[in-house]
Amino acid sequence: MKRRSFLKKFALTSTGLVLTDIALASSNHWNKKREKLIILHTNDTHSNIEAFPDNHSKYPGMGGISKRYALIQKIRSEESHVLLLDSGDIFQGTPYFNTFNGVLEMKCMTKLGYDASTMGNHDFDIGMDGFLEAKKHADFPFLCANYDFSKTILKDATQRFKIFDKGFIKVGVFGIGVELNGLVPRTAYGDTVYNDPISIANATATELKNLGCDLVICLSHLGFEYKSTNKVSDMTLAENSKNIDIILGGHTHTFLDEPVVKRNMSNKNVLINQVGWAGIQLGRIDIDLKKAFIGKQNVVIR
Amino acid sequence: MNNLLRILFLLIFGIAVFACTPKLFIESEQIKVCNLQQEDTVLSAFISPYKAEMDQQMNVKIAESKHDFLVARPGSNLMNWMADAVFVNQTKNKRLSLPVFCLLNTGGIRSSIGVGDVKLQDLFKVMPFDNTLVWVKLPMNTLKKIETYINSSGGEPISNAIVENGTLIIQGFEKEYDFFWIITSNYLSNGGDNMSFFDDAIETIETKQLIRDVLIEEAQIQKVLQNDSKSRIR
Ligand SMILES: [Zn+2]
Repeated sequence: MKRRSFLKKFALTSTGLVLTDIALASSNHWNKKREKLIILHTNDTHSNIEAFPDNHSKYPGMGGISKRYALIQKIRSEESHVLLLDSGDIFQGTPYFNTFNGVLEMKCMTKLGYDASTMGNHDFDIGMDGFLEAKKHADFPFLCANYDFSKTILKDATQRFKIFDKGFIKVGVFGIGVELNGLVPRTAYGDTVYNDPISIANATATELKNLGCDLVICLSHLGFEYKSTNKVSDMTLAENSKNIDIILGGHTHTFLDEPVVKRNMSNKNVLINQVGWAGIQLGRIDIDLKKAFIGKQNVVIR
Repeated sequence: MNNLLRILFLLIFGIAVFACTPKLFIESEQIKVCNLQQEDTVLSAFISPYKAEMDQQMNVKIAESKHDFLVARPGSNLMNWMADAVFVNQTKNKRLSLPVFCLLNTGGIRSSIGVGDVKLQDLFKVMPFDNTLVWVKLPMNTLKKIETYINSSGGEPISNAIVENGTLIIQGFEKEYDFFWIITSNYLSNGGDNMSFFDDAIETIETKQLIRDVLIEEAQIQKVLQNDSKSRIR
């Protein structure tokens, strides 16, 4: 029911809604193989290891990392190219964090097979030493392009980006963090330098395109949108960006019904998505080139 | 399929100006993780000893709740309960010579409390941060900045004060004073949540008491959580 009405809505609007010539235009491998890339993503899981209790007023029985894992495994069994990403705020929110200082979160995410994450403001909550200690149990990289940790103990703990070869496609993923001042106690972030998200994001995305990435994904913890302030958000980043195809956001705990599309500086479209918080939802974005060359037909609905 | 509340959407990438411009076919779905799905038994087994250890520490009943205690701007029962618990705890057996009120932050309340037993873990969820209480003395003209802050944020937990038509009124103090005290968290007094008006502080007293410990203490005293759902921001 829901699905049908949704498709209808898009059928009606999609003449005006034309998405981009995303970077894939340059990629010739697309028409050779008929495969899909599945991007799965979470944000602001906030130490929610278990599902919410059944008497919870807002989210009874929802979430739970074990159910999320089963879901991910099922998708992995059906699809050959899956990326699993997180946009930060792994820490803080349940007594699991207070009891085990983030170690269990890292161990579970490793078991789930996360490919990469970025750091959210709450990932500083037990200080950088606490994060580093927990991170020993993480077998996936933390991507932070605009935090300069060079004068801190995290100097070798994160990287700006990572390139994934997913069969036929090269995917560049990088991370952008929120301004820490005013949000995180100074004692917790120490000598971390926060660099301008938009210029760093554009430079990194361009670097990734130059390195041959077909698709560039930004893991952002900036927040989806700020209506009353001019604080940089995923919406402003998208508008002022170049070479970013997809922004997977966090921080504002925004439950988007569907990804939002924004025009960037080169008049190409950028997809922004965010899936609330606490692992209540798992975002899934399928990129499928089965219908890549369909001539002048503008609308594809199947 | 019907066990997932599926939201699908289709987007076509590419303006078909040139016949050979590829259109990227994108499909997306926000998959709800809910009770109708199976757990992964191996992962659940891995988690269970952690859960047992945590429960041993956290599954202790400390009070009861007859209502859903929720966070909702401009004001709600959980916002009131928390600010009241802090205010009552901190002003107990104290003679107040200046106006005092409690100001916390809505964003700092990280969970709701359901009907039924209130366990230690519930208060850890509501207040997971290890923030402590501080008393901050401010000049009366800072009150305007606080009003502006609360009016633009849309509401923060307050106790012993109300905001009526945009004006903050500290209760129980009739004559005019030059200064007042705020009881708040060290996170906020250090500029957290952009409460920069704390820069005006004339004096700060660190109580070193964890906010969470104070909530636990007051919940134990109340036995049944006191419910006041009337917004104090009007
Ligand atoms: Zn968060």
